[in-house]
Amino acid sequence: MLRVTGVAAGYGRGVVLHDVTFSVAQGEVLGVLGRNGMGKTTLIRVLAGLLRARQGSVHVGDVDVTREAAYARAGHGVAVVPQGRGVFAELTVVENLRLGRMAAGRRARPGRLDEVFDHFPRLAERRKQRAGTMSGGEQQMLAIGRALMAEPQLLLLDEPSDGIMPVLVQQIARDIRAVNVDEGLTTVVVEQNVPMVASMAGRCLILESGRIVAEGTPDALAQGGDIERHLGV
Amino acid sequence: MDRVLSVLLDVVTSTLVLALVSLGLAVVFGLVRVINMGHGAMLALGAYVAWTCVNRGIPFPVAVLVATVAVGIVGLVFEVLVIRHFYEQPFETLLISWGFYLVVTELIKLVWGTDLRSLPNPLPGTLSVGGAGIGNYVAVISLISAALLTATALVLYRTDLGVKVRAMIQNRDMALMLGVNAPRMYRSVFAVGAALAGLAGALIAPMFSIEPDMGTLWLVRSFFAVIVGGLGAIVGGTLVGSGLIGGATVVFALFSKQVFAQTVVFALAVIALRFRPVGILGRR
Repeated sequence: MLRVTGVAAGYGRGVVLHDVTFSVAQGEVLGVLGRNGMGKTTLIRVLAGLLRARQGSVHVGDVDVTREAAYARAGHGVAVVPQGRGVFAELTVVENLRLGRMAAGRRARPGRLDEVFDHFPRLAERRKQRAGTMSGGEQQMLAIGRALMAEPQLLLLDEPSDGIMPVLVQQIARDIRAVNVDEGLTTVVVEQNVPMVASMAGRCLILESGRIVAEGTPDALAQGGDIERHLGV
Repeated sequence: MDRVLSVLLDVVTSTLVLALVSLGLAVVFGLVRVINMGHGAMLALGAYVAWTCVNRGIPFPVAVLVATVAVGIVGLVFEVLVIRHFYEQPFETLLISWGFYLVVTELIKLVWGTDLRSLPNPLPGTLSVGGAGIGNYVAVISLISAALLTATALVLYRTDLGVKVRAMIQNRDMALMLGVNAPRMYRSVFAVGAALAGLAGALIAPMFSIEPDMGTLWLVRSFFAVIVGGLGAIVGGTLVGSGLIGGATVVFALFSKQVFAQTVVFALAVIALRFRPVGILGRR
């Protein structure tokens, strides 16, 4: 579903990602772990189309999207829940969700809004509320709900636990897992929170200084000492 | 009582005329964050195009339409050739659009000369409102201004396009990731802003002398109206800012000369911005 081959990327003269290669199968949840400043968000920006890869290629399905802008990638079914959630604070819950539906274009299905409200009943209760007035956890639900409205083929989540109360982190993880199971949605989750990723992902990569230094199931990475060695936990 | 009503009508019409002139500037500034100093030249260009059309026997309403489209196309070409390369560089776009103002003003002088020109009032006569008089034409362009402000508000708050536009203002990257085609939207917004300037220039042409530098004062007044009203508050900000700049000038002019009144209003606007830099309805 997602194929990343030899990608290098960075800002200005600095190179952040070096020769990153991996793939994600249809319906798989891939976790990308790494400490701060290791290139996780840069990777998401490259996959989303906000940052051009200097080398290498990105394929979504059979389509080479390497040179495509972010808005064009949305058309290929790439949906993003960015770090900090990226909800439009001045827009209402429903307006935020409408933006997701607009991104779906021809893929949009009637009844999708009700499905999203089924996943996140709290959003239905607050449909006319301005997004900026909601709690961090509710905003995260909205950001995920908005991404689902886009009928994505590939969901990219950047630090979904960031700024969320610890008690809600596992709830968000369960929500993401439920969406993956219900819809067979291919998902890439970039996180520092190892237990959260371990509860969602079937396979993980560890990024260090912009390079993939380990890959495997969460259990294998933990037992092999990679998580302790590279993440210090 | 008639005097009060007359002043009130003057305040309302001055506000709406200034709002008409400012709307294009507010749209471009609010949506693509470009302070388009070329707005004044686009206004003058609209007036000259309308003047040329009328002098060739074209009915005034059609002349206004031609001016709107022509200046819109000029704005589109300017955006495609120049401005699009400098988005998110506020100082560069400020200087470039000021250069555009100077070039277009000089071209106007080359094509039409520097003589003052005028258009006949297309709707002579006055309308009586509760005993106070208001020129027919001023009443009509005030209504057009109110209709344009209403239409802009409806587009922004009642349509999918409006949701996209408001999303783009708040978080460009996120809007892009939701499939909003930013380059196309920016281009359209700039062209619409230019077209609105052309429309305003053509509509105010019968009320004032047409001359190459006519855009300067309007640019200053509309610039103040937009920033005093509030950065990004496109409709409400334009209306409130125009009310404060246009309406207050009318009130101060009751007690002094017009030039002095305008100076006082600009000074008050500067003081207001000292305490609220984002404008009255603006948000940080």
